[in-house]
Formats: sequence, structure tokens, C-alpha cells
Amino acid sequence: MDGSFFHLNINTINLVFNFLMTNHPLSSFRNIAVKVRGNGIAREGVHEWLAQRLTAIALAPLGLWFLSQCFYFQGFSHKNMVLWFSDGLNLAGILAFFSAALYHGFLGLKIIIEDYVPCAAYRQACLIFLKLGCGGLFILGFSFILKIIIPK
Amino acid sequence: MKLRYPVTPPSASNRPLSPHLQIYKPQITSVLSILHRFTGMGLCAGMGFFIYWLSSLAGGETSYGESCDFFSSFLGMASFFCILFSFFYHLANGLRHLMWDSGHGYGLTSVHKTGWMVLFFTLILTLSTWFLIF
Repeated sequence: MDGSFFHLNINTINLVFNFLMTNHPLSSFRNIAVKVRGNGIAREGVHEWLAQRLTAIALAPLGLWFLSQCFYFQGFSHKNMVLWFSDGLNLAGILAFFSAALYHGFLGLKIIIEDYVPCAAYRQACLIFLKLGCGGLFILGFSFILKIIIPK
Repeated sequence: MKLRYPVTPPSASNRPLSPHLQIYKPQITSVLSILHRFTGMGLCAGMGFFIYWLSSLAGGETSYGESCDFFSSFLGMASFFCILFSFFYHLANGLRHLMWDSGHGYGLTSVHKTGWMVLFFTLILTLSTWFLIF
């Protein structure tokens, strides 16, 4: 033949173009992780899924315990409440319940925002606001618990 | 997410959509699923109440008395009832989710049966705790 190894016809051009228009890892030199980051599956999705399950398993007994304690201190005065907080494992229980519940709620709200906010920039802004808000609420609750148990 | 071709967002287009929520019959699968999400959001609000209660304790005698008055009022009792229902429902359906995560109970009869068990469990526990208060 005339020495040309392959023919550059319209079919191959079409094939290559369609391939380059996909999101296949080889279609561009940009890192695939950059494209999927923010969709919840690149690098941190499994950890979020597991954290949700673990906090749920922790919250099942902790929540029931806290509910039973709510009945226990129904008529308590403020002094009895402060005594209750420093009694045995109650402080650990309250701290564990509060931390697990807040983290579980944060993960759930994160998933809800990722589901229902269509614009990417607005969604990331909402997630940042959520993270800062939940972090702040955790510090706030922790500071209240400290204030309750530390005598003046 | 950068799209490979221009897309008109639904908010900007006047194209007609097929009815979905208006015509799809509500079933135990879909209703329980959305209720799980709803009660989750309700429990996040319940965490707000919890932090308010903690702040009232931290503030001393007077603020604790004020929060006790709020929780004895009609609004406080109503919100406590909603939080109680949300907690028991989310607990029951959460256990159902964990059962699914372990691989069991995906058959249609099993889904229906466990769904009705979740509702039964929620109702029984909410009403029994409510009547234990009084």
C-alpha cells in the first residue's frame, strides 16, 4: 500500500471526539477526583456512611437512657439537677449523648443539603455554614455542661 | 458539577413536567422513608431544645425555673410530644435501616411487615411514655 498505517476518516474522528466528551479518566489530564469531589463519594464518602451508622448504634441506648433520666428528674430543683450531673456516670452519659446526637444530626443534615440544593456553589456555602454552625453548637453545649458542673 | 452540554434549569424553563407526586399512590415504603428524613430534621430541632435546657441549667435557679415553666406549658408539652414521636419513629426505622445494611429483609413481604412493625412500635412506645408522664 502507500505506507499509511491508519486512515483518519470521519468515523475515527467521531469516536475520538465522543470519547473526549465523556468523564472517563483518560479523557482529560485533569484529576478525576477534582470532578467528583463535592459529590460525597471521593475519599470521604465511606467514612461518612460508617460514622452515621456508628453514631446511630451509639445513640440507640444513649437516647433511651436519657429519656429514662428525663422521667427520673421530673420534679427536681436546680440544686438536685446539679447533683445529678456530678453523680456517677451521668456526666459521661450526657456528654456522649450530646456529642453523638449532634454529629449524627450534622451528617443527616449534610445529606439533606446535598440532595436538595441544586446549585454547586450555593450547596457548598450551605455545607460550610452547617459545619460551622454544628461545631459552634457543640462548643456551646459543652460550655453549658462545664458551667453546670463547675461550682462558682 | 460542570456539565458537558448546556442545560436549562427547571426554574428557568416553562416546559411542562409529568405529574409524579400528584398521582403516585403513597405506599408504606415511600411514606416511611420520607417520614424517616422528616423525623430526623425534627430531632435536629429537638437538639436545639436540649441545648436550650442545658443553657437554662447553666444560668442558675431563675433561668431553670423559666425553662421548667416553658416545658410545662401547652407549647412545651406539644413540642415534647412531637420530639418523643420523632425519636421513637426514627429509632425504629433506624433499626430497620441497620437491618438492611446487614443484608437482611429486602424482600417485599419483609419490607411491608417490618414497616408495619415500625409504625406499631412507634405508636405503642409514644403513647405509653406519654401516659407514664401523667
